Amino acid sequence: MTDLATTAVVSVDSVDVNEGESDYVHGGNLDSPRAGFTSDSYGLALEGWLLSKRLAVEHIEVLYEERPIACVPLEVERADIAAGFPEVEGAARSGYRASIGGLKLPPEFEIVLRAKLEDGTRLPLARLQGHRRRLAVPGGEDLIQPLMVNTVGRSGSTLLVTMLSSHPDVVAFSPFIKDARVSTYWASVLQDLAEPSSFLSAFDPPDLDRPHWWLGSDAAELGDPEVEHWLGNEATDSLARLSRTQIEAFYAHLAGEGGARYFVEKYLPHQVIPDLLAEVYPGARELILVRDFRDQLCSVIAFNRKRGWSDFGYTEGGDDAEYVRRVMRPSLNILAGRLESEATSPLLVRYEDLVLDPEPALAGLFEHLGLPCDSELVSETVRQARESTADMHHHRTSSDPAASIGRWREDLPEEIVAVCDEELGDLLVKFGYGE
Amino acid sequence: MALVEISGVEQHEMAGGRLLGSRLDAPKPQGQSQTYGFEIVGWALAEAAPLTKVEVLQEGRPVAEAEPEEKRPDIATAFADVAHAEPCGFRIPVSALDLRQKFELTVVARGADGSHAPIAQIGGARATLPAGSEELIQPLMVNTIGRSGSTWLVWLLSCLPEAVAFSPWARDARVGTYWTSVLQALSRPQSYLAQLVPGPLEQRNWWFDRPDLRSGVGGDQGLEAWLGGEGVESLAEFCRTRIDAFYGRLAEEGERPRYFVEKYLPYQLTPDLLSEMYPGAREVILVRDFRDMLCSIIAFNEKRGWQAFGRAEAADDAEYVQTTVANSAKRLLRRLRERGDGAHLVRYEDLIKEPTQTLGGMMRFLGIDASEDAVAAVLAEAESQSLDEHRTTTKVSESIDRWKRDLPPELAEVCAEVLDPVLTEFGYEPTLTPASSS
Repeated sequence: MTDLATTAVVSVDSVDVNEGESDYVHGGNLDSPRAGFTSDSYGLALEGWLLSKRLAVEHIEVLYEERPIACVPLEVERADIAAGFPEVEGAARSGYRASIGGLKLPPEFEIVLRAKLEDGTRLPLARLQGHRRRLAVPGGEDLIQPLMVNTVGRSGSTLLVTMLSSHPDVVAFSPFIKDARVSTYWASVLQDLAEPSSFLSAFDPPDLDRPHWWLGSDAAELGDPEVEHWLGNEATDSLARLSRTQIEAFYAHLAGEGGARYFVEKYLPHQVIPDLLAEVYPGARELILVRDFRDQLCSVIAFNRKRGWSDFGYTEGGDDAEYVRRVMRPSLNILAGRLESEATSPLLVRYEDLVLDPEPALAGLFEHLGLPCDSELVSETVRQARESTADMHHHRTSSDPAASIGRWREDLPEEIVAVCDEELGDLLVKFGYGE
Repeated sequence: MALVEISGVEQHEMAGGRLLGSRLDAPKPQGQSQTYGFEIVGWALAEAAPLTKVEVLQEGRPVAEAEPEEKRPDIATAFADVAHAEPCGFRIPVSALDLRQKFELTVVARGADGSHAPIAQIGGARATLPAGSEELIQPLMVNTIGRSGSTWLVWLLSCLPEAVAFSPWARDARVGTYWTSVLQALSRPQSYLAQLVPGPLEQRNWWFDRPDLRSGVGGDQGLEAWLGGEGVESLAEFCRTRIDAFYGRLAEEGERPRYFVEKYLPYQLTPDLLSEMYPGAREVILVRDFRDMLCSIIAFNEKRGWQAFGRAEAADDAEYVQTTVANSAKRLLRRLRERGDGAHLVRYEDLIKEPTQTLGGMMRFLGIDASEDAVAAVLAEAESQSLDEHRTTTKVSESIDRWKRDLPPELAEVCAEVLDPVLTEFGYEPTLTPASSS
């Protein structure tokens, strides 16, 4: 028999709720979870209520790293709130319920609940801190290990992935043509299928004709705690192992007979995927790639202009200062925090070093990764990478990568330089751009 | 080795209706695909307004669709007077795991006003999925329609020492269907190509069902062929492993049952896929006099206060009989004929009136000890528990031939018209005339 009491999967350590009346609301609360709550599977249900005064509540957002991971309307019936506020319209359906997948959060997490009102105002409702069990997937030493390039767009990640994959022990899929995310794909499959709302939908599925019925429903508890516990624990670990098998099959096929030690892919700072991969691969390694953020900003602006549409988190009509504050600062903050991660012992790589003096930069990188790094091999790797990237003008926004270093001095308006200094100054220093 | 072979394509030269013209450019007759899928490419042009979609139907149910939005300058030139002629092309990825092993497809053009016209018929065959080990817990599939006594049969079969099922009286476990649905979804190019061409990662479900992902987007034909071939087979093994893990966990400690028992609906492709994936898969086709079944559904829906079993989709009981009930009954009959010795017919009435012989027949079909003692032990175990709230008549025996008592004459007339040919094939008496029900 499994001891269900000692095998919590998700635990909530602290909850701070903004309750009571304010200018905007008659009241509200997060009823569950409370501090000390534990869950038997990789699922976390948040339930509460909110009653606004003048402005309607558009929805309740759940944020991790300032990004929404769930968005739910107020639609749960609350007879108790209706009884407490008989004169307030909407009190009867003032409840909300959001289900968060535990594998969409890192092992230690903090999430924030807030309400979005009809005029766009965001009201903070609660802040939760907690932790989840790490995936337990033994073995995997002999597999092709993930080499994770964690970075923000227009930092030279395609160049770095191309350089790395030019090493005979590293494999990647057409890095300068495609942006393959095989491990992100399988980790996403894992994240979604590990949610109780998915695996419980196999029992009493309400409508097999509904598209994607297997991805989630308001499935009730199974009525068999032992089996439900197994589905949320060992079965999830097995699912993680099988997802790893699928990644391995892809890269083993791509590497061919010679095999490879690492597969290399890109990841974004807000993604939890590198944490998950580090839990299922004993030899996962992470590289934090940065580029002078002011040059990166110039490159984003130029690249969006070249393509004619906004990308990299740039909102249509948004201004550069807002982009620095709203997108760049949070992403770079996460990258700075990841440098301290013990799970993947990340190595900081600066784009400028790769461009200005690639051979010593690569040699140091290969050595850190435990790869052969004699000077002949490194020179050959650099030569091959140059050959692969020679014709890829579509990716560039300057005539020569070296010329793009320090372009911000010419390209950025003074007021944006000032915003960068104010918003990113500490991070520039931290990453070695202390000017 | 080809994984899909097209045996024939029949174009509807003069489709009629409001279509000005249509043509399938692909697949070609005798065409082959090296992946578990192929594309239907062509054009269709309606007279008054652009078509809203082109659907691919198998046994009357859609298996793929696309909006006709591909530019066709050749058609625009040929129909220069028609303003909406240029974007009339379509390209529809079809996943072979959504198809029967030998398939017949109808391609239908649909307009915004509800009009529709067939464009072509496509016939072909796909490779079967590689079979797994005989050591795995094999599926024992009860293929049936709702209110046919399937819960009782699943319970009865779960009492076999060689079988396992999850709480048949309490829950309707569809673990086999869940994992084959995952397999079908991930085997579509609209999903597996997302590995090579990811969309916006912030979007939920970016990794499947992406209409922008079509053959060729990965830019590496060899790798795409691997993903659509070996990659799909590897996925099938993935899903099979999950089913086995669940039922292995459910079995009593130290025991390894031979079968897991679940229900399936007649239109589902799941029994086909599981039969391919498991060398020892067995199928029981359970029928009940469809007129009694109809009475039971009507009574059950009244008892619960809402319309289940597909009844909500029909305007009235007569239409329900003509569509859902008739189609399901015909599918079960076709299934019985197609499966031959691979399926075993069980009539609910025999199960109730002659349980020993009926259960013994099933146990022989399953290749397990069907001695008198073994059958008696299973029946005794099964009869020690039942669930009264599942019933709509007080005694089980009263539920047999209840249609003669409960079915309104006008509905009996509809049954006579559409169900009698199938009923007699399954060994039931024909409805004859409504007067016989009095």
